[in-house]
Amino acid sequence: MTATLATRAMQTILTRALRLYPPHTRAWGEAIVAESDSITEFTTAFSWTLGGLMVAFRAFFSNLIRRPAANNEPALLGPPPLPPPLPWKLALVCLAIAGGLLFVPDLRQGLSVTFSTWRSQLKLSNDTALWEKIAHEAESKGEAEAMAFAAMRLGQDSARFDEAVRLADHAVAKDPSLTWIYYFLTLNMRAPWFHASPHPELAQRLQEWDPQNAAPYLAEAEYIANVHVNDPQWRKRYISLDTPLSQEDLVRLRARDPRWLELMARAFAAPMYSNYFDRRLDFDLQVMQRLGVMNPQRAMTTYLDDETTLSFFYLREYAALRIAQGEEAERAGQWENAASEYWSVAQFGRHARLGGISGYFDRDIGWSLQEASYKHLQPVLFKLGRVQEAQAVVDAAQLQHVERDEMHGHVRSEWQRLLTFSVVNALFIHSCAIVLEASFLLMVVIIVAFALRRAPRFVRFTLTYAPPPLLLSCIGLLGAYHPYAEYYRLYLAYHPARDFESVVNFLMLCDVSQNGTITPVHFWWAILAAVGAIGIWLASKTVWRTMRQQHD
Amino acid sequence: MKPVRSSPQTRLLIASLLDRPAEWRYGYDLSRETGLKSGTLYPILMRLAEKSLLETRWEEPPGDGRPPRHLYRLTGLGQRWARAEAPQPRPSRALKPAYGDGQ
Repeated sequence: MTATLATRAMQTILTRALRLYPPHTRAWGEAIVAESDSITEFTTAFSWTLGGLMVAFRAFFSNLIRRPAANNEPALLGPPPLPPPLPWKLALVCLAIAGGLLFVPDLRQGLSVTFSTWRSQLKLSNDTALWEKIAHEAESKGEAEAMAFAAMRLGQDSARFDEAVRLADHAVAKDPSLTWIYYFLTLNMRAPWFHASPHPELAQRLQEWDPQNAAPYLAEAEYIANVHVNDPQWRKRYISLDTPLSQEDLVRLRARDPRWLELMARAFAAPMYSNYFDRRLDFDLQVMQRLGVMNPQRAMTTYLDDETTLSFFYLREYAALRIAQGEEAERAGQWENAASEYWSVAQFGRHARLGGISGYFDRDIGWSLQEASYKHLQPVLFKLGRVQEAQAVVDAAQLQHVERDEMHGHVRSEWQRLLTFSVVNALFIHSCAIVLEASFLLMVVIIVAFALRRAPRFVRFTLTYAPPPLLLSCIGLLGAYHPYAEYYRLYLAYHPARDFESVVNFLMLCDVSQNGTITPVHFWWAILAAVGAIGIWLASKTVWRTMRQQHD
Repeated sequence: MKPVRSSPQTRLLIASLLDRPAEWRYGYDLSRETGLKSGTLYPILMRLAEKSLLETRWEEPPGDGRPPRHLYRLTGLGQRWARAEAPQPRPSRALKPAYGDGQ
């Protein structure tokens, strides 16, 4: 009974598969179905059905790629003939133009960028060995800048962190103006991947070297917070600056590590904030150019590598604590103390906005701190009789509100552009590169095959058909990549041109996401697009053939 | 020019067909005899028929409700070509049926 049911199910599948057969081979499908009626054993029926499905799909795809004329050819003439080859003159002209285009630097750069993206995705390239080589050579030659450059790169690997610190110490000993590199090494210690022995002394040396800057204090504070990361008291939670801090949160924050509280206080009191981003980006680009290891991907990735973000939660928590202290002072009638607390938050917000935090998210931190403190500050200033100061705060808050709305609108439209035009353009560039490479490889393979087996008809067919797509892909790649090449030149030469949107736009071509990780989007999309294009071509051919048959 | 690419599976099939050249054969029987699965057997049969080396027909409806089955045998041209192509069938392969001993 089970066998009969199974056999019936298999027959149903094979009968459904009859739709896949073109009319002239459908009888074969029916023959397979008819035979299945004689099979009673389940495993045999299953195997027969699988084979029958394979035949059905084979017939379907054979029909798709078969030329219409082939059906009318006499039976014993052998395989269907190839389409007539294109004129040699056309092929040679295409080849000559494509060869000439390969001398255009922008096209070569576009090819290099796409190929190296594929190599990255296939895990064929790794820069760590290069940074180690640079470190080794720099140490042997005593080059402080190259040592500092390599130290910051190697410091991003937990296993090489000690080596990076040693290199950084060596570099700073030779050139103390490079002390700022400790900032980036210190920030690495807070990362989830960091498992090396910590070096808190780096941040302290940085504080001694740059005491007016809030960033060195915040770097050490982040490191301390990271030490306590598994402590429930330190667990990050969303604190709204618009509502008063709960008593429980207030107690929790006040009970934190005194060194953390001291560092945050110093950071909020510091007269400036600079996260060394611009300094490091200039430095990295110069050193890479000098060492001859610069390429567009490294140059752009450096922008994201160099951009550091401090913990939004800890800054808000500390700001909320200062605002809560201001409210306590207000309740005690200590208006000056209250104003002082609110001003410290507002000023830190201003420093954070203006003093080198480059990302929109970071800038937003500054805005939110200012907004929250201004709200408390206005009534206190009025109570203190500082009317003009209070009015200035009101104006600043309104202006800031408008600026913030504008920025949010700008960020939204920026990401819309990135996720539409940038993605499509990058996809097109990768598709062109795939066609270019495929055409070129096809010609090489055919020439080698000709040398080995001699098949002049097929060789002529391929060698005349491959150059036109080669030329078209060269033109497409050059046209689509040219704006990227222009931007790369501008990026290296002109400091204000290094903006986030343009960099991410470029990096989308390299399949590097905002956080610097490789995302194999365009490479696989391009392959899917190529497969899809072939599918569309085959389907349209079938539709056209069917319509013609109906017309006939 | 060879009209059909003569793979080992093709040679196995034509050896089986040559064994009883005048007799009409069922696809499932050929499959059991040669050890070829349906996914391999039918494309070869289709290719041979396309090149006029194999003739095909439907049997008369059996009348017991079962559908008529497709029958195959080599044409004269096919027999001449098969004699030139077919080696001695490999017994080990031929004795190992693909689909058991069912009917």
